[in-house]
Amino acid sequence: MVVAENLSKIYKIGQVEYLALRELDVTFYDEEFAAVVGPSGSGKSTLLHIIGGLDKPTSGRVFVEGADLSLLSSDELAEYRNKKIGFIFQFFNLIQYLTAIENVELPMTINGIDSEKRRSKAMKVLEMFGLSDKASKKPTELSGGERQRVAIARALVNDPDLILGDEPTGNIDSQSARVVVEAFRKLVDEQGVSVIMVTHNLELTKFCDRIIKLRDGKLENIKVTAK
Amino acid sequence: MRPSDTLSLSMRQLKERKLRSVLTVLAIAVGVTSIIALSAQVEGVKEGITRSLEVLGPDTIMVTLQSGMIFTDADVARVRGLEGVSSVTPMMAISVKVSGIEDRVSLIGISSYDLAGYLGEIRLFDGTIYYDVPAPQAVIGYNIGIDEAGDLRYKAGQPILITIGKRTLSMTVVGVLDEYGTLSAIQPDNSVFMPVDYVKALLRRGGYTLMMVKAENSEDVEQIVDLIEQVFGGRARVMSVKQLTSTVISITSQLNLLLLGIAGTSFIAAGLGTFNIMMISVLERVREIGILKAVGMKDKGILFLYITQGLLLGLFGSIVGLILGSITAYTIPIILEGGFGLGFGRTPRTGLGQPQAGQTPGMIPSYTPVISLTYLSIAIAVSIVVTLVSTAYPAWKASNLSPVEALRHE
Repeated sequence: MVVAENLSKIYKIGQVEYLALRELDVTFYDEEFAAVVGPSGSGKSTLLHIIGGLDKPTSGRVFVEGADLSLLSSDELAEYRNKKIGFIFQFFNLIQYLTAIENVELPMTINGIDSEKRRSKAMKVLEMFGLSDKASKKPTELSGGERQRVAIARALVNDPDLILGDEPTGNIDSQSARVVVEAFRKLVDEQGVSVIMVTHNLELTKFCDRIIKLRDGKLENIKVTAK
Repeated sequence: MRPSDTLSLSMRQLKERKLRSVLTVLAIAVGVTSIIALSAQVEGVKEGITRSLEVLGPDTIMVTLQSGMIFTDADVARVRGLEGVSSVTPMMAISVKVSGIEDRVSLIGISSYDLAGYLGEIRLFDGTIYYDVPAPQAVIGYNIGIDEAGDLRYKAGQPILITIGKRTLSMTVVGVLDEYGTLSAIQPDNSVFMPVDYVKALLRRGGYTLMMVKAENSEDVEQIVDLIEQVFGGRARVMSVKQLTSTVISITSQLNLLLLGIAGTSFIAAGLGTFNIMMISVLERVREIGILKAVGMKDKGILFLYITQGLLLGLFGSIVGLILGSITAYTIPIILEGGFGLGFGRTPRTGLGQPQAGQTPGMIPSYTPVISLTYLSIAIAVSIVVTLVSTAYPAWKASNLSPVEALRHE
């Protein structure tokens, strides 16, 4: 369970202060596929970054499985990102000079796992996404949909409890987007993983358990979808 | 992250920017090359000179005169009578032309007994040594007797034409010396040796141009130098082998310091270049650093990644510099001897003492370069330290980037 308490984030751009989150309280449950929606600038990505330990709130706290993220050191946060979280980005964020399988292996490489073990694990995850024949391809040789599936495979390879998707379908065609969201649904239903997905595409929210809508850094409403 | 994975990821990053990595490696290699190549010349010259001085022995003192002046038999007798002097070898050295040899060579009048002392040991390539009679017999040096192709130019028993001033005389070659190596103090390879009495008669001069004095005891050398200086006042130059050796060592150490200074400057340039490249590399990879942090790489993991890249650049720079430096070290003497018409290298010089009128003094004696382990280690250590220092800041900067800001970087 992820609990955000009284969360505020202020960005300073020059002399201007910009409030991304305003005293936001929100809870995400285990084994839930939650969508975070809202107009641009509503604080969706900021919320996701804070939950993922990539950014720190200006005030307020985030508890993940009861642990207060604000108390973690930089190294502990890195470990948290490595082992507990799988992050998926709109622009894939794959490393260009590494092959698909090397990109998938990366979280395990950082974790110090030996090459044989990580290769077989990475191959297994790539197979799950029908990418075993693309393992030795560089990201530039893959289509958008394939790149995003490689990125998802990378997010899953360390068996995280929580998948965070920051507009993961924002840069791929609708067919691929559907494949991605269905994969998330399957992960939640079959493997008990929790997924929080920021999206603009309301069409895709029908696969989610709950839709959390933000506006101006505050919670506007929560809708539970009828599956 | 395992060290082997850090290493392989670093290699991948360097390979991704091949040209830039190669240029950085070359910039570092220049410093290593210059230290190794230049110090090898200085060390080689030093070793060559000291070895040639050792042949003469630490008890030897050379007494020479200013051009145009001569020592008389009385002068020789006075030196011989000084306390602590064991022997005095008077010699007559003049600059002459030999037919078939373009450059001028030294003609040295010396007794066969003294010649053995002068050379340390007599090694003959052909023929024999002359008898000490006033006859036109000559023992010629290796470079005169043997041509560039290694064939005998003059054999024992053959005549040799020697031009002294305006006179050209025919002498008989009785022996050709083995190669002694041309060194700054003695140039036996470029000299013609003849019985001293014959040379004196030939020149119609009752004297000598230099004296080789041996001390009974090498500890008394300084004292004898003082005594000889008192005898001749400012007329003569008195140099002991000991003094020469210490002068050579002090000059070469200063030269080495100078070279290290020059090489140091190139290292500063290489260091700034590396700093610049690593800074650019970090700036270019801000987003990638964000990705690595997002998937869980710790700050010190990023730091090690970039430090490793710096180390690799330093290491490759050292290896390339080591190879280029060794090649250059052995190429420099060949270029100098080839001369480019500069009058270096093979230009024969007077055997001893100051150069005679009309002869260009050789500036660089021939020698074998010596790559010293000390300078090799200095070069490698400095190049690695320089790259480490110039990588430290960019690496630290990379490790301290905020992950979310790094990911937002375009």
